[in-house]
Amino acid sequence: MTVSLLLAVLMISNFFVAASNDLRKYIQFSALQGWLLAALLLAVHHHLHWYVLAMVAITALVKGWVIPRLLRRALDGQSVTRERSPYLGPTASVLVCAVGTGFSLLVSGMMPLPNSHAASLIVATALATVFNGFLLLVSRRKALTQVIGYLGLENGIFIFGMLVVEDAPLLVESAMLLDLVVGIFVMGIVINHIQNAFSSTDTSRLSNLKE
Amino acid sequence: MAPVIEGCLWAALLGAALSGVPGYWDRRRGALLGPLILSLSAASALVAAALVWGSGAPVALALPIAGAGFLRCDGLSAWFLVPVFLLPALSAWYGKAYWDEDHHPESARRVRLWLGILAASMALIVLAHHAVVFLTGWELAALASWFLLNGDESSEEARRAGWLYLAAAHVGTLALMAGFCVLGGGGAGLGFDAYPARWADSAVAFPAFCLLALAFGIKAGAIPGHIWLPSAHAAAPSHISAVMSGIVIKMGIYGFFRMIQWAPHPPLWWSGVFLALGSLSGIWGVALALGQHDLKRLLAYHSVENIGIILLGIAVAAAGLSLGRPALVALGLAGGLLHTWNHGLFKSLLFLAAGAVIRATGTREMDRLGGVGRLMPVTGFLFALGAAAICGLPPLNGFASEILVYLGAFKGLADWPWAGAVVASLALIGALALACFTKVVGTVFLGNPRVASPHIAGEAPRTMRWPMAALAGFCLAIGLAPSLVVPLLKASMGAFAPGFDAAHGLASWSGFPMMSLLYAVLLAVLLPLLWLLARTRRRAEVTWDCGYAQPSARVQYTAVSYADGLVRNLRWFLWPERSKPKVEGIFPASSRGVVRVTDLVMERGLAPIANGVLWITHRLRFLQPGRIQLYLIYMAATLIFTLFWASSHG
Repeated sequence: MTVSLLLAVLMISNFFVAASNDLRKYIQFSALQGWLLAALLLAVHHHLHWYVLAMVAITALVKGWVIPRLLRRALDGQSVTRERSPYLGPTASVLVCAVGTGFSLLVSGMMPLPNSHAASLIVATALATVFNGFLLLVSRRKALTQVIGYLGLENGIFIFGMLVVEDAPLLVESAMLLDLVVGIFVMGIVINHIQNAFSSTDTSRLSNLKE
Repeated sequence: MAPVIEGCLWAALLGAALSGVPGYWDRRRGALLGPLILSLSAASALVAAALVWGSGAPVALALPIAGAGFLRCDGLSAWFLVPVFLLPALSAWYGKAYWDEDHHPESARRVRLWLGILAASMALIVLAHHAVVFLTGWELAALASWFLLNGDESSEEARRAGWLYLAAAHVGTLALMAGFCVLGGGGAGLGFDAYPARWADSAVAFPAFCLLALAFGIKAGAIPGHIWLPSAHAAAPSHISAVMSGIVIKMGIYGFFRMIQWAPHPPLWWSGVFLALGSLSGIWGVALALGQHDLKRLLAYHSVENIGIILLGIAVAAAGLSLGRPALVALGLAGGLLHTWNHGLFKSLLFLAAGAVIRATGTREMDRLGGVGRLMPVTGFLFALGAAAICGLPPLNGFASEILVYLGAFKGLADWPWAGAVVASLALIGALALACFTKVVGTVFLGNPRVASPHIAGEAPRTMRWPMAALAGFCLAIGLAPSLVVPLLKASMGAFAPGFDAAHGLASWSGFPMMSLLYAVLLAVLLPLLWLLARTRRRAEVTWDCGYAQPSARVQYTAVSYADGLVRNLRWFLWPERSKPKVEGIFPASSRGVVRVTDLVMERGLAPIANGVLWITHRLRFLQPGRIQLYLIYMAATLIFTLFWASSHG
């Protein structure tokens, strides 16, 4: 029950992200998703080993606090904190997100999964989150939104990992998290440098660099 | 004996690879040390080859860490090892004066270094007993040739030729990799030991044959894979052209021989493919050579022609294997192998002599040369000797190897349906080659100088002359006494043991001592006559005065006009571009006539295709606007498509 509820909240949070144009809101929702993931991790485990608790703590810390903090810092120097002319506006994005979520629910119902209803909901949420992250990647211009998009992709994969939660070794999950932190860290720095060099973080301007 | 052979081979490999290194510390001494070390490596390789032939058994070379099974020297390797080291060593001596430190301070060291590496990498190819080692040597040789080709880095022509060469070489390498993968499938691995069993499987043999034939054909310069060859050989420094034409392209031929060895029972259509490649390369190559005005480009097309002759020999051997006729196998293989050596010898000689002419006159245009033989008698004589050899005239070495292929084809007339085509092609090639080389020798060395050349020097320096003389000596020796190389041939063909008995096909070789005897008698009669002729007084006159009152040197037959009759006869497949000069009235105005023979495969085949591809890609530029977002969508679409495709097929 708790698991389903958390998954539902995650799905809804996707819509909020899609509906927004505000970079600060993206970061807030990304942090929220981080906390939700940590809670989800806690909820799916039947036996609370010390390493599960450690994993929950690290997830909450990294996704709910460190990464948002890094992103906020990247945002601090910037004058414009809104997506001004996205390739796909908020309304259209919400519609596409709805289609994607519906499609995810449809597909997950058809998948040959080992167990229960909860499993198919996990898959649906995972696919929907991946889809939403991808939507963010392709429909927005700001470099920071790209980072948020990648974060969404990763969150989706993380949710997918819940399926195999009993067997997934600690090492794999922690390595994934470490990857993510390093990746975001580097991108944060890159964004700042782009900002300094080109006085804009609009990725469409980067196409001037081609050839 | 094996440790001695192993030691000699390692010494040769390492010596050659490092021969150019001392020059980077000491220019003056490096210029001497480079050729010297390369010659010592060559001597060491010759000893190893002789020992391998003597023992009759292949010798495995152990690698320091990887162990045995990667390098092996059998009779066939030994046969190719000889020119692999000999020709670069002689060219290096020649290059000491031809590409010296004073005139080429930037590149002399680099050319020496890569020449040594080229020799070592080719040795790696012929010693390889594992696909990875083979590919390593293959790639290294291609890169070394590219660096050598660009010896003169200021030459735009060399750069363009280099790009074409590099592209063609990599197409070949790609095909080779794919071919080895096909052969290595089914758990066979990449060692050559497993290949004979794989070739027996026809589902493997067909794709493997196509891929390897493509790779080896491009490297050997067999038409239509020859597109890179003329420009590369023309643009390279002459002693590098000599090595490239003499032995680098023979690596493709080596590959064909290995294929024959791996597949002891090939289907009959193999011999058809070899025959088609061989006669096409031979006839078209020499016909294109007839139309060339550039001395080195002409020689390059003759390489295509001679590759054709070698391929005809391989065709005879393949037919013998398919039909179970040991005599054909023996004669075809022996002819092909011997012609590989012979072409290496006389083509290197010709390129070196051409280099000496170019160095003295500063031009490769035959129609700007003329009368060079009087200023450079030694070079002229050696070039004429090489020319006679390449035309397959007795008593020189070209005749000795071509007669073997002829004999093989004649023996095959009974049951090989295409044997007649081999004979006809060989005869046509020989006749056209003779026409072509009378043109070269006539325009370049005989007659009078056409253009007052500002800086024509005298005879080439001694360091350039003696490598040419050595090559000419080998041509004469093999030509006069071909029986000398018969034991070596037999030992090399021992590598092909499982398919047939080499001794069976030897009957026709008893003709070689008879040939030598005949030559001896003829020379005994002719030489005194020649000596008498040389003593008679000679007058210097204009060669062609054609009854004109005031003939000038321009009245002489040019290379173009000499070949024009033949080119016109062959126009149905040469498609020459010609514009006639206008001659009207009693005092015609000045006018120009042009005959240009272009390479159809390149100009009408590949170039339009390449332009078409470029046109299409220009039209498709809109797909690449430089937006990350769009690229992500492409990737996702590809992923989804792949998933659907996989699920619908799985």
